[in-house]
Amino acid sequence: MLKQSPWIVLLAIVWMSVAMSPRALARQPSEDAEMQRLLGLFDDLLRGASSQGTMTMTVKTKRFERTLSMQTWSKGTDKSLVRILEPVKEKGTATLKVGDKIWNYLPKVDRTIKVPGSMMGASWMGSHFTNDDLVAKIRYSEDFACSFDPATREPSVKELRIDCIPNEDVAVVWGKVSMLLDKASELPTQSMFYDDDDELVRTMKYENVRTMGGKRIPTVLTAIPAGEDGEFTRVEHSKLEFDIDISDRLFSLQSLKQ
Amino acid sequence: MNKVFVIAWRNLWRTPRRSVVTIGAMTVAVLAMLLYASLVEGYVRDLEADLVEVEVGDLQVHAEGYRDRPSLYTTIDDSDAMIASLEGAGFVATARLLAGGLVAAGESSSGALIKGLDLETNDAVSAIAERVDRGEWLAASDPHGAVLGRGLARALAVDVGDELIVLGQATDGSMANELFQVRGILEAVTAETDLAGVLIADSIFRETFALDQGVHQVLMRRPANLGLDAASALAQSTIQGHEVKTWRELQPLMSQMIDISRSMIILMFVVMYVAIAILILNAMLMSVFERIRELGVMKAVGLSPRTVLSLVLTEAMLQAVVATVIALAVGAPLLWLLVERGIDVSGFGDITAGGMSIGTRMFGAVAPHTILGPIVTFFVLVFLGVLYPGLKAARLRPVEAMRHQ
Amino acid sequence: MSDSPQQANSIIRLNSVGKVYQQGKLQVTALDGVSLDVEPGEFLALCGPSGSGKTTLLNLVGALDQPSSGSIELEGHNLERMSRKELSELRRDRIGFVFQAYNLMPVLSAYENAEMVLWVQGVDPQIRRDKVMGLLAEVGLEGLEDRRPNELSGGQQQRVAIARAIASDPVVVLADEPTANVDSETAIKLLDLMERLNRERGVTFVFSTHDPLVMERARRIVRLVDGKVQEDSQAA
Repeated sequence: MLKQSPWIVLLAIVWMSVAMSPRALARQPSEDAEMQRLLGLFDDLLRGASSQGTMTMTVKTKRFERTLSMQTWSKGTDKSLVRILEPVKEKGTATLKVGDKIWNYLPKVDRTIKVPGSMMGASWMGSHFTNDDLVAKIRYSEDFACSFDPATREPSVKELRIDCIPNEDVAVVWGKVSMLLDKASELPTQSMFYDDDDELVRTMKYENVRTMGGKRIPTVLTAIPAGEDGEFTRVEHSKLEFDIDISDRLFSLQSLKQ
Repeated sequence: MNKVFVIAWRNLWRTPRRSVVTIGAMTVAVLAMLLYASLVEGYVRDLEADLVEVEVGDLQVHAEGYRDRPSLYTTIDDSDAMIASLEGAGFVATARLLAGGLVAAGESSSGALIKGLDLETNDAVSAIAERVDRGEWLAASDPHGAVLGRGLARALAVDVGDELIVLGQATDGSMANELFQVRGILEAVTAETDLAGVLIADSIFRETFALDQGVHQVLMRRPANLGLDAASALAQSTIQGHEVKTWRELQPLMSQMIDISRSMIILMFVVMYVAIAILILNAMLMSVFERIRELGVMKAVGLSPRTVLSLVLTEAMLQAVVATVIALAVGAPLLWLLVERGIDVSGFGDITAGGMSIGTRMFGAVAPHTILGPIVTFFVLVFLGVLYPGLKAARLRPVEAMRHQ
Repeated sequence: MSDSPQQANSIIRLNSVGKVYQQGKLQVTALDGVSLDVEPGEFLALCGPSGSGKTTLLNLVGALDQPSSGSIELEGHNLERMSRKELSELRRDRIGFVFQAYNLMPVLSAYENAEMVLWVQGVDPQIRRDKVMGLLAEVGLEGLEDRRPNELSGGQQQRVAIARAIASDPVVVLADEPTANVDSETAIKLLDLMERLNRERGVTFVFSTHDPLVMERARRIVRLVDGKVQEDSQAA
């Protein structure tokens, strides 16, 4: 079983920005087994029993550049907690996700605010990810109809390209998602998100594959919004542990504060 | 000609009951329309005043592109110089800072439009301070005081003195968050402000949103001697490089609403008076019908069709005149009450009309058109209503008329 | 069918006048080839049974109706060639009417009714007043000037109508059954009045009647039967 890394909470953000569909639905019976296996690997890269880690998030926009270091915890697919360690001004700011709900703790005013539905589309911590991205759940193996790019199946080509179209009854903002998988490691190197007009909206890069928490995974993740010159949000994992024992009490409003 | 009046007048009293009923109905209609026109005018003026004096100002300046895509970063950077030159040209102006965000109180939260006001210059431009219903207006001595719309206060279940958290994204990408206390609650403001407006001092706004310089909006009132468009042109020539918009351009819906409200009155008159016109038509048709033989004799001895027509028209017009005089006599004190005292509409709950939340009282307003409009429309419709019976009488052929049973 | 020898003097000339009414699908011939000349100062009774065409004839002469055939001249003017407006003015200025009923405006006093034609003519109020007061006295209504028609007897009402009819000094007064609604005593008095006006003022009267008492007073009797002139006789 693949373990879930804590940074994968954020990876999940990225992934799940793919979609907001809460439910996986019946897949096409004609999908071939190879595709299902690869998509399953991809999907399960994000799931696990529990995780804990630290990471750095760098956000660069036209207006500002900021770097946050944070600590992350997750349990199952439903619960996660992120707490900012630096910069000092924002130290202690924390985000708790339970199911599809998100709370932010703000140390400056010492209050916990539940993010209302109207703010779910807003940026999370100034990054290129939204709150919706945080709570989204999606499984490519079930929610999308995927096909290989035949040209990339040639043995001489190192990366496999898979194009995925969301099933009709899946509510996602994307019209198409394409991903590149390194054939040797079967790990993703890049994914591209397109809107309904087939315009590229966002590119994700998966880099710096390392062994962390006993698992080889890309440890640097970069989201690049299309058309915003030079903007990106990069998540760099620095420490990661899987399948550790984390109390459910950690994912509560009480522990959010401290 | 004055004979026609005499005959018409006496004819009226041949069937006193019918005439009294007709005049009564006319009076009620005219009276209702006088009051209605006054209320609509009062309402429209309130709307305009609320909009212009309280919130929008006559003119606004935004940084290029702000109105298409509002952004914390899209600022006017030379606002001090701009305001100085505007004031040199006779305007009064104040700068505003604007940000979208979230306000939260207890378990509740709501999207909000956060406005940072220059407290020193605001009052000269905007009367919004007067719209504080409960609590107090912003004060420089209370930087963490916030004034918000009544609708928003209700949604958050907060009252004066309660705590409020303002959240948003600061210019540095961090999560803007600041604790405020509800200092005042506004009533009778635009729906936008009512439901989403959070007003704070500009200094705390800058601190919260990490906005060191620049403003998003400059609000101004025009010199008294300038019309809106002339003032707009003057302002635009005074400040190059930024867009100047009139309140009508900024609030096209409200602007249209106001124009439509005014023209709707006429429609209302017509609807109301068509009933009256039918009554007149009927009454005059009856009266002509009853007098066909008599009219035949009149025509036989040489009354011209025109005289007969004018006789019938005069009968109707006399009733209309009497009705109008009574309506004006009765209406004058009522109008005075409407204008001076208004009517209590608090019983109708929270009324929002055309994007403005109305206060608890509605006031009438009297203008030449609120008096002349109902009366002129009334006479036109009475005239149209009586035209058919009148022409019928005028075209009577004496021989047939006299043979009429 | 009389052929008048005094054509030049005629104020009314009917030349083979016919009138056909359409009553539903039925064509009713009210007048059939009537020729008649009336000279100034005549006191002429049209008689005949009901439906013989008396009223139709008066209506045609009074320019209230148009003949189906033939022509009518009033003071030498062919009515056929006149516009509606001209006909209306002709009635107002040159013809006096007395009808059987509904003669008067109920809302106007005796004085105002008598004055009406002069008012329509636009006569100066002072002249109007003098003339109408004189006329009302002449027809025997002195002191009743301010009464409304419903405050007057039938005979008095017809006197008002006669006063109105002669107020404009018409060439002829056309009276359709003027005595039909009054008792015979009143009828005699009305006839006396008309006769006196005819004699003293030279007012030409053409009136219809089926009352033998009235007929007796006429100086010329034209008898209509089925729309034709059956008899045209001068009294002695």
